[in-house]
Amino acid sequence: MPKAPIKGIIEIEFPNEEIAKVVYESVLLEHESVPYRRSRIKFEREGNKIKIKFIAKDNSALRGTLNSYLRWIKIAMDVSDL
Amino acid sequence: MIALGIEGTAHTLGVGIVTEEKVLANIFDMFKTEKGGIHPKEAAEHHAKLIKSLLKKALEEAEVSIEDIDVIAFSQGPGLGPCLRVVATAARALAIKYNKPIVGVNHCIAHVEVVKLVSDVKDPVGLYVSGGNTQVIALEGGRYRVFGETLDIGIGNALDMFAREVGLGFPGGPKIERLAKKGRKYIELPYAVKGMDLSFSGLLTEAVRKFKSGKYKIEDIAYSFQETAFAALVEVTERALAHTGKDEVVLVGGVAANNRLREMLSAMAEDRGARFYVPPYDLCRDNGAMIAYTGLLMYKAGIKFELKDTIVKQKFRTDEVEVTWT
Repeated sequence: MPKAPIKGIIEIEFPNEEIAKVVYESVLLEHESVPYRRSRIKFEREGNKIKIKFIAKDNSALRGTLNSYLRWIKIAMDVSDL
Repeated sequence: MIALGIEGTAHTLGVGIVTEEKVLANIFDMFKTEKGGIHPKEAAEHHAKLIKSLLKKALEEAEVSIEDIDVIAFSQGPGLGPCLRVVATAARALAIKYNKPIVGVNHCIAHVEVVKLVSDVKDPVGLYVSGGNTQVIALEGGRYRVFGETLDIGIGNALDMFAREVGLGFPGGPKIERLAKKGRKYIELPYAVKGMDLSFSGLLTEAVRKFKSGKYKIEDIAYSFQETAFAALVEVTERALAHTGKDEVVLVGGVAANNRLREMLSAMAEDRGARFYVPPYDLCRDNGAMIAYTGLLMYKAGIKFELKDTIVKQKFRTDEVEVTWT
């Protein structure tokens, strides 16, 4: 019997909407262009929050996908504060 | 005008800041593994961890603030996907946050273009030799044309793989060069120039096989490996020079550090009456200054990128780019 997919939502709250927008727009193109075969992601911004909604086939798909998104988000946050 | 460039196509993360006349800062950090080789996601993680500190260091060294930067350039490809995405994301964030224009730069072209920043070389044939890339390129008809390239692995990769197989460790190039100097006997190895293209995998396999046979000295194999591979590189470069009629040759990329390759290429250039130039090593290896300088030239020529144009190109071909800035 196939395993049930892993579902979840990660919500990241930023100090203000401007930072959330910078991060969101910096990452959006990667979200739209990277092909993921074993997971599906919704990447959204609402005000000063970014939401990552995910469905992954298994743990390794989940880890790989989330690592990428969190890495990109961290980079965008880091370089916005030089 | 001041440009900031971020390089991160493979194991080196670099941030460079340049003007039209000089390099203000050129900071690096190289992802290294004990046994060599590169895992793209580990390299990307390395770049992600260090990008902020490298940007800060570069700005400090250049004695400018981010507000002083006129254009943000980044290595758009070719390269390893996860590494390229780190760099592109950082460049986008800088451009959006600080309201700066952004330009995506072809890594291979930048290796040759930066030569013009530090020399009076104008229109060379470039031999670009690194771990991942081996190309002979020159500007013809408004694009950098690839006159010859490797059909399998880059020469730097071939050297590193050979070094790893025979237990020399990483990076292999300098160790092979040292051993080769002690080599006395040339051992015949596969010499593969196919048309204008090159191949190094047969040479690598045979060199390793000869080492494992126990019949040959490692010094002689290292010497023969270099002589064979470099002769092929010089042959293709010479044919590109003859074809284009150009009279300048530049050697760029990490393998440009090899003195034997410099010697052989220099001798060929002298025989043909061509000028030979190798930039300082920090501008030969993967570096941010070359990305910054090429981005600056592109931007000054009116090339504008929308955010949607900044998608990374893992297989970005050298001849895809229309060169409108020369």
